[in-house]
Amino acid sequence: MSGPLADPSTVGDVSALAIAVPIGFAFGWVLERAGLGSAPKLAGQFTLTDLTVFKVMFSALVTAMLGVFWLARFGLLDLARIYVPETHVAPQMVGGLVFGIGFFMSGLCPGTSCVAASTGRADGGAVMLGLFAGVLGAGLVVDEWRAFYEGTARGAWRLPELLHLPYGVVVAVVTTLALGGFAGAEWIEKRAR
Amino acid sequence: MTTFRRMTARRTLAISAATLGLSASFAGGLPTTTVELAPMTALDLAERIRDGESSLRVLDLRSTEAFDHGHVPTAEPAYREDALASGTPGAEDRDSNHVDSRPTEPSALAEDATIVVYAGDASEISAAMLPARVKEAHHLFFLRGGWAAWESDVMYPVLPDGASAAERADYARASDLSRYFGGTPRRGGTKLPPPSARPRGC
Repeated sequence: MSGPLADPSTVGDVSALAIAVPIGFAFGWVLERAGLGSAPKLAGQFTLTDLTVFKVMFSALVTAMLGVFWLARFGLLDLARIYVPETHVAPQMVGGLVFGIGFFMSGLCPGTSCVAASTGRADGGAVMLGLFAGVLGAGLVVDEWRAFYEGTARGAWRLPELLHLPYGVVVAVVTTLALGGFAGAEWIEKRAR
Repeated sequence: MTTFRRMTARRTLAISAATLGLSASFAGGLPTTTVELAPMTALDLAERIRDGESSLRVLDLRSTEAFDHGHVPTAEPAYREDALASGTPGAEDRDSNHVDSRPTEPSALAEDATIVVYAGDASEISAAMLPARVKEAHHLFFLRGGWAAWESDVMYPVLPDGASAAERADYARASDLSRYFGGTPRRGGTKLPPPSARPRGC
């Protein structure tokens, strides 16, 4: 893990890991306080009766995006030091489909299953067990599927590169979509009630 | 009152987000801190080191602790906590307790030097991580996959079961280099994922 500050001598590896621990605690606490440790609340996302997941996650995304952009703009953050996972279109679409089916069936995703389990919910523990079983199983057969697993690679594919737009314009577009999405989510929830 | 406060806070946050988001499109470009670095594989680097290429300089961008734990042969550390140990000019004049964690400049670089830098893994290397004189080098490369790639491809290469002819040829090359550098080539078993295939988290 790297602390991607512009001056790398400020945060070493050990300090970066030490900072990560309270960040992890805060992440779990916020998820739990937002109610995302409850499977019915998460399942409401799919029945369009409770869009809390959408609002919480998109809020976090926009907050992080604006923070990263402006810190980089003022030279405090080095964007090149932030790891961006590589995009592999086909396997990630399949993985997303499997993830979505599992999310709907269990009412929990990997992160929220940890939150649920930590608050004593048995369904959280069950989903975590299934998660690790799935990871182990996939790891055991990954060699058979190596070509597909590493296929359709697009490298670290960012929206500005995909859309051929300046970084700041993409930030503005995403922010606008988010605010519109929040308003839309509130309207949908009101209608569901 | 609580509802009113919640609505006011929500409205304030929305206005703040809108302001920061929309003004981003007028904020101009982001500071460019990346330097063009060509990739070099661990095996190519190993061959150059083995062949004693005189213009080759290898620079380790990791912490002092990581460097002392293990590094590419002939590599120099970019960061040293103990200025005296780095042998930098004038270091002997400093207080023995002086700790300098800023980048140290490598000893004189020839104009035609080939510089290869590496970090711990496949993370992108930025200009901020490089000593000033290195950034001006004409022949600048990064070790693809970093130290992790050196360990997996050079020190501990694996010939997987059912390997193709091409994989066997690669393994022959890798195992020669591995033995030269004191590594342990291995036949059979599951091939380790290449450094570029990072786990994709949730």
